[in-house]
Amino acid sequence: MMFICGQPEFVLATASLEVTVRPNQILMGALYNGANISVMGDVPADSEVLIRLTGHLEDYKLKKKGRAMGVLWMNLGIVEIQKVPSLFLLYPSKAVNDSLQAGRQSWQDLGLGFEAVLKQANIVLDSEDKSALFEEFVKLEKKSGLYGTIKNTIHYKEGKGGMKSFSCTLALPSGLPQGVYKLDVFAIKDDAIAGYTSKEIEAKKVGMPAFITSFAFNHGTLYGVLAVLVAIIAGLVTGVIFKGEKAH
Amino acid sequence: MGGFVGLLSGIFGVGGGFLMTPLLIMIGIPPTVAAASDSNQIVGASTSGTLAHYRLGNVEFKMGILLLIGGVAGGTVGVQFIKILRHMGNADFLIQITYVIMLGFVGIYMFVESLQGLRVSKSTEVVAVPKKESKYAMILKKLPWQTNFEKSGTELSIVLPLVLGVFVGILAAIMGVGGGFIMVPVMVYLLRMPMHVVVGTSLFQILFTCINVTIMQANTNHTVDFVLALILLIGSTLGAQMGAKISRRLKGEQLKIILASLVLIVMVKMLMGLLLKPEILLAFVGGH
Repeated sequence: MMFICGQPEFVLATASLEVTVRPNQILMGALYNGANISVMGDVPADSEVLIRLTGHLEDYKLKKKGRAMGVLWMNLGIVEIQKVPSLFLLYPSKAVNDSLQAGRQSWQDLGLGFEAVLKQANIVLDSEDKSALFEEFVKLEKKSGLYGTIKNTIHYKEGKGGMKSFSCTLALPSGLPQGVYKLDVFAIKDDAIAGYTSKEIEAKKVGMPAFITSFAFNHGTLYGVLAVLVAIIAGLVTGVIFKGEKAH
Repeated sequence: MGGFVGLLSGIFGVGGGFLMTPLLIMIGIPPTVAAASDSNQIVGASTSGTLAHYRLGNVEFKMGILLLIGGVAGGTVGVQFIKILRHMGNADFLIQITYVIMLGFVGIYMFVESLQGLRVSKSTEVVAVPKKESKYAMILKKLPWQTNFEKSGTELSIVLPLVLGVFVGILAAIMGVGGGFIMVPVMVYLLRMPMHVVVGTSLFQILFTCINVTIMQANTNHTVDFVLALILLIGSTLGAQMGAKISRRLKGEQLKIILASLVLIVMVKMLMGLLLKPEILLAFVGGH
């Protein structure tokens, strides 16, 4: 499975962090409406924490809207955005968020934020500004809750031996697709990565939703026919319950 | 949401897809899933609504079946036509412009006509003047295979509903909608059916259109979310029953004027969408 890059050079050079993730498996049943994941660990006392949750790389086909005849906004064609993560959520500490907002070159070089996604993405388009188009893509994904920067979620406590403890609750969206997600935890000091660790989180449909998904993909026509039958029966049952006025 | 859209469906004989799909997208459902699941729930709402209207004597089955046959043929032609348009480019432009013009024309005509109808019915001194038969009525009488449509109280050639069904089918395929919004005015003005019978017959026809769409979407795109449709169904089937009862209590002209207002609101919304810069300049392929 392919995930976003951005850390290969430092993985060997930086200290590995001790981090606990609970739970590391999300079971999405019929009543699933988003989930919370607790991340806890220790980082050097003089560093700041950034948590990044990413999905596997996917290709998207999108309609591009533009102005036609100078006045009308409409779909003007199809754009392909390839090799972008299906989920990209950043949970920065306040200090890290300030650095992200400032957009310093040293930060961009770390390749931890959205600029890393743009760098890796392949946008199939001839004439337009790719970064402007990518910004629109991020806006679209942010609207679905699958991309975003979630602030004020990292909390610190004093630790021992030059370390401090952090905790964070990651609120995962209700529209989270089934799959394996990569959780990266970075300790950042002076615009450089001082510590790093990576964990995997699996989101898995169970029970009725799992059965329905499998049925819908493996027996599409039968699934459609059954969906129609259930709808008709529901309509008829309601009709019978409401039987009040007679035919003329 | 399901209850509200079902209510509209039962009152006016429209599927409600024009309202439900955007509402589902607004709460975060992907456009393709929203459109397909919506058509699944419309099957339930229109079954419930058709049954309620059948009990009230408002379903003209013969007319519904003829329109349906024409609609299927027209839909097939329309799908091919849209393929050619897409190949030529600017298909979306044509679709949206057709939508705005059609809705604008139909909405304004219905609104003005029903307003005049309401004014006439309010005046107490109406002098009965024998009406001169219009050219349209004379042409209708000359068409072959005249058949009696009992519920509507009219005699018409079966050619007319077949041809109009084809026309609506083509437009519905081009616009990507069920066609209730076009079918209702066509039945009222061109087939001259009473408004209450139009509502019941339109629902009967929508039922089959949405059965077809649901199975096609489930088979080709796997975008029908059954759980979502089921949740919406609970509200919409109840809403459709209540809508049918409300519809019976309203006068034909009142029904027309409210529907005309709804059509005009949708038209204005679409026009604004064409004129104002969208918040996001990209959209997932497959939305309405």
